[in-house]
Amino acid sequence: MNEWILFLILFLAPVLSSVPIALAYKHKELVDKLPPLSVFGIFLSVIASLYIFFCFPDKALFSYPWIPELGIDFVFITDYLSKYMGVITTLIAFFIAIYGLDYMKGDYRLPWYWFFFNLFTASMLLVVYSDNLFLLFVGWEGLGVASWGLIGHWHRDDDELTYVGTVDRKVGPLNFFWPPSAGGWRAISTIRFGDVPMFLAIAAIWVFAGNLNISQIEWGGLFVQVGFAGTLIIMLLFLIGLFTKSAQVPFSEWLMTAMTGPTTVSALLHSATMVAAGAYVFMRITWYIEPWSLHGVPGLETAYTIALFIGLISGLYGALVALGMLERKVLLAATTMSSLGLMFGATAASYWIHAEVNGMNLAVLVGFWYLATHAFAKASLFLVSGHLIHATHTRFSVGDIELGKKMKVTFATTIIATTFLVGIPPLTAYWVKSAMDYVMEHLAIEYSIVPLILLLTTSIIYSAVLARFMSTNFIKGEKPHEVHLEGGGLMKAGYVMMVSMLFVIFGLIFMLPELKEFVHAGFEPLSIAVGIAALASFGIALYKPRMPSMAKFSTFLSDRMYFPYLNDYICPKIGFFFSRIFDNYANRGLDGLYNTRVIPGLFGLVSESIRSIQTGELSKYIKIVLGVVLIVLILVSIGGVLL
Amino acid sequence: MIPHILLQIVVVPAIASAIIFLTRPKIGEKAGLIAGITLIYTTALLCIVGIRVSQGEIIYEEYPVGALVNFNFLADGLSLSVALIINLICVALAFYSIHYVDHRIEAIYGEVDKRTWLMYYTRFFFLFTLFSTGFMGVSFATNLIAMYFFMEILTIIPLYFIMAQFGYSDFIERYRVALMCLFWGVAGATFFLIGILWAYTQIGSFEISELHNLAGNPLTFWIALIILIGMATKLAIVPLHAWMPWVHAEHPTCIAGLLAVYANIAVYVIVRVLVLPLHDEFKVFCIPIMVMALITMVYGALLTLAQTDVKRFCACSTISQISYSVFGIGAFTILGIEGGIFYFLSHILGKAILFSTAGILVYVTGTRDMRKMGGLWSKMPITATLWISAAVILSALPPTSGFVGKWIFFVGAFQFGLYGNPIVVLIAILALLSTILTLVYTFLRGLQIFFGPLKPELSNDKISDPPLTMTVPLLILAVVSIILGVYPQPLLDLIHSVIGLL
Repeated sequence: MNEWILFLILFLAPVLSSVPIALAYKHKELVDKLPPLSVFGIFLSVIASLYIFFCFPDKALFSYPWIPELGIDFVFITDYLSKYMGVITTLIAFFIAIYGLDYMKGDYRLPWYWFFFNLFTASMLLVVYSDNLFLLFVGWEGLGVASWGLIGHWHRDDDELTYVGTVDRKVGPLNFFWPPSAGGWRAISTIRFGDVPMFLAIAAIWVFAGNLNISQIEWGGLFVQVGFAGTLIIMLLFLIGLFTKSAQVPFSEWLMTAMTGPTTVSALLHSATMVAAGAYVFMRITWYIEPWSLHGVPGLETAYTIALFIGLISGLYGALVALGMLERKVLLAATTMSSLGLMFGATAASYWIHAEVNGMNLAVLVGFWYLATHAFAKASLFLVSGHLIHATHTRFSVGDIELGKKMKVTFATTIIATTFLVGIPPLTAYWVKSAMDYVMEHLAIEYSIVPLILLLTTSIIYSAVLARFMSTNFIKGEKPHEVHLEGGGLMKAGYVMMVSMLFVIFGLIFMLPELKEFVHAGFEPLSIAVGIAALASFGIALYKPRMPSMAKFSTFLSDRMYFPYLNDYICPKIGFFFSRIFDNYANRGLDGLYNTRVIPGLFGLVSESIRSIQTGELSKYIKIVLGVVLIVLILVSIGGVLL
Repeated sequence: MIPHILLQIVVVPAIASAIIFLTRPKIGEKAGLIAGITLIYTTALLCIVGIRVSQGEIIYEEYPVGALVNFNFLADGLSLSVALIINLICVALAFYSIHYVDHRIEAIYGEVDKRTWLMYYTRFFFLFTLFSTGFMGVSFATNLIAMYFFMEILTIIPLYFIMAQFGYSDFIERYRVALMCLFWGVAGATFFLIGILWAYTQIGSFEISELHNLAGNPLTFWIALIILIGMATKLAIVPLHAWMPWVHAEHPTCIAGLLAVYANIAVYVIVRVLVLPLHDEFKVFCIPIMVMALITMVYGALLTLAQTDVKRFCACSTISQISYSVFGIGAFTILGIEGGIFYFLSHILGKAILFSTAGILVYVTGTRDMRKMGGLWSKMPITATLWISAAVILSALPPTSGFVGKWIFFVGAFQFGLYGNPIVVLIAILALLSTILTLVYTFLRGLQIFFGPLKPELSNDKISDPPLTMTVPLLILAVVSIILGVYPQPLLDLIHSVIGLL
């Protein structure tokens, strides 16, 4: 098979399959019948990604011309990262799409939903397989636009169930609740804030390196050429794009209010697309920059140090604020931010970690496999949340053991997803997190102990958060006012398939040679101690999910430490302050100069003076003529005398 | 082989104009259709010219009218690209106007008898087609006097009269603003005229192809400066932008897109008259141009953010957006200039859509105040899609032409910084950051107008998408922008065939 056909199927099948439903937006009967076609489009992408995974050579580039003189081509790469990530993305999108057939049934905006859902998937696949930075950026921006469309899907803002925050609650002058339209706006404006610098960084890379293909750029040479300041500027501009997309501090707010979108969107957004894209691209460029071999290059260490600490601080921040959350999806969103922080932290640690497994850097491998584990677990938990919201008709965590008994499959999925994700031995994430502990332990020797402390603290809090999620929804939560259990077959199928992938990853950890270090790390004393601590933390939170004595602190956390003020108050205030200054003063002043006062006034004055001569009185005209003649005579006389 | 193809492109709309005027009692309501079909015909001719030019041919037609003045026309990659996109916008807006003008007449003059209605309706279209003549003339002219002539035609005939007779506000305000537009337009063109007359005293010719003889002349700096001031007036560069918000707020929205073209085409004039023939002499202006462009783009964007009047909003956005093209030219590398031209074409596509969508909103809701709109997506999904399309184009998001344009001219700016003055890198960074503001104001206002619960006063049956003749042409422009974004190569090749010679 020609490779380009496969790539066409991979990227275009989801988009083209959703075009019919988008075009049929006026015909409700047709719209109700067409969603399976959109799901089929994603299924074709699954097949294509699997074919690429099994049949395409490793480290192969497939290049097709676009604007060659600008270095812009369709260049796809099938390396370790893209092969795995492609399959993860398509599988997750496919499972969520199946779930969505049930979840979105009867929605008033299905054409919009399916078009953007599939566009979202296709955009992520473009990010995953692109080796050309420009092409990657196209997918990157596609993610941004699609996320805006999906987060603001319920644009009428007429259902409180779709809001984030307690409706009508104010903190100071600011409303602390957000409707879907605000969620979409917050997402795209924050993301754009990062995309633009990233765009600039890519342009700079092209100008200085003369190549846009990540795997072909001479990164070392580029950094040496631009020097300390240049390296730092390029890396930071690029990283701002990644941080905003992955909702790292201080760009995290949009992710919390992105929960105004349908749960399927939240699941996709938090697992294999969008936020994962930031971490994934960081892994991809690190893979090829090979910072561990560029220690003499000025500026690079500073950039990786920033990434390391932003990641780990975000990890801790996310886990902490999740501790106070009462809304199911927002709690999960905060934990996603936390997990992404750990991915950034682990990958950034590669600068100092030289350990290689099968020619691959251990720290990057840890970051990537944590991404994979997190993706399936978190997607499962989101899908569970969606089902719970449908069943209990509230977005806040409620549910006792009775609910757990009534929703056995959902409960079981939650147990698996949470325990497999928090690092309880010997479940899936335990091995990955053990390797992460191992990396940070080495970092403590090579660089600083602070990252290790941050990681361990985050891990323990994170474990408590997910236990709290399970407890407040299925064990010790309030009894729900209403429970609707009818239907939902496809929804269950979606999250069962999703969570089962955690077992597959569990198997892979023991089967893949490059992951043998994970298993070794799992038997290290530190890892065992951390695993036990995570288990203890999980158990305590399960038993006592709420602490009334800490209510004030909990509110401080659930208010995201007042970070919404940055997005909704400080930035708009600054922007509108300057815009009003310009509009009310600068522009009015210039208008006064040209159009209303000064220049028209001067013309008016001259005109008035001239008009004042035209009185119609003959005697006045004679006086003027005589005056002029007199002046002329005087001037002539003076001239005669002088000459 | 079609004879006098360039002459036809320039003159046929003028002939159509005359026909509409002379036969107005007979053609009546068909005036809009005739204007549209005429412009489709000239667009088809432009496509034929495009095929020939892309094959390496340069089309040159001679129409002398005196020893010094002629109406010779030249179609090369640059002039053809500019002319083609502009004419396409003219076609789209001609069809858009068919319904819109009817609405304007009713809004201004109330229920009038058939004869009066016909008088106004046909008057609009016989004036409208002259836009095409003016734009095509400016694009293809090889003689400076001819170029000046076409610029003045644009200012005096269609712009002034259409604004004065079909604009918003009351009678006095309409004429006052139209007069203001006329003053500013004539002032800009007069600077241009002084510049070219001064150039004539030095080289003895009005031919653009002879302007290179000014190279090395000590007066060249001043001549170029005067022409630049004239063009800066047209381009609404701060502090010469004060006319733009007034004029855009007053004219009928169906020509708003063309007004953006009217302002932005000065970028083409600068490239044609100064950059290409006086390459080395022009370098001294690069940094000042980039700085002025930067100030304008930030100023315009912040100004836009403060607007609540949907028409004034678009006007302030134009101030900001035009300066991106100017910035590209200021970068003065091949890519910078090509990107500037490409972005100019992208901007006019996006702005034609945005302005016309604003027109639809005013047409349907009867208000210009965006604060009084809200939740319109449910009622007007196509209009909302158009607004978002325009926002995406202007915000330079893929897969639209704006994305490619911005990429090219920023790479060009970097190259200038790399091989020239490093301070330009700082300017480029600030310029790029100002692009964030574009997304902020377009999407934020989109949020205000289309999202959220529907305002009670808008929940009646009259609020719905307008007739297809108004929306389909705009959707076609959006598709053109996407095509240029996905496959920009042919247009880039055409532009490069001229700019690449630098």
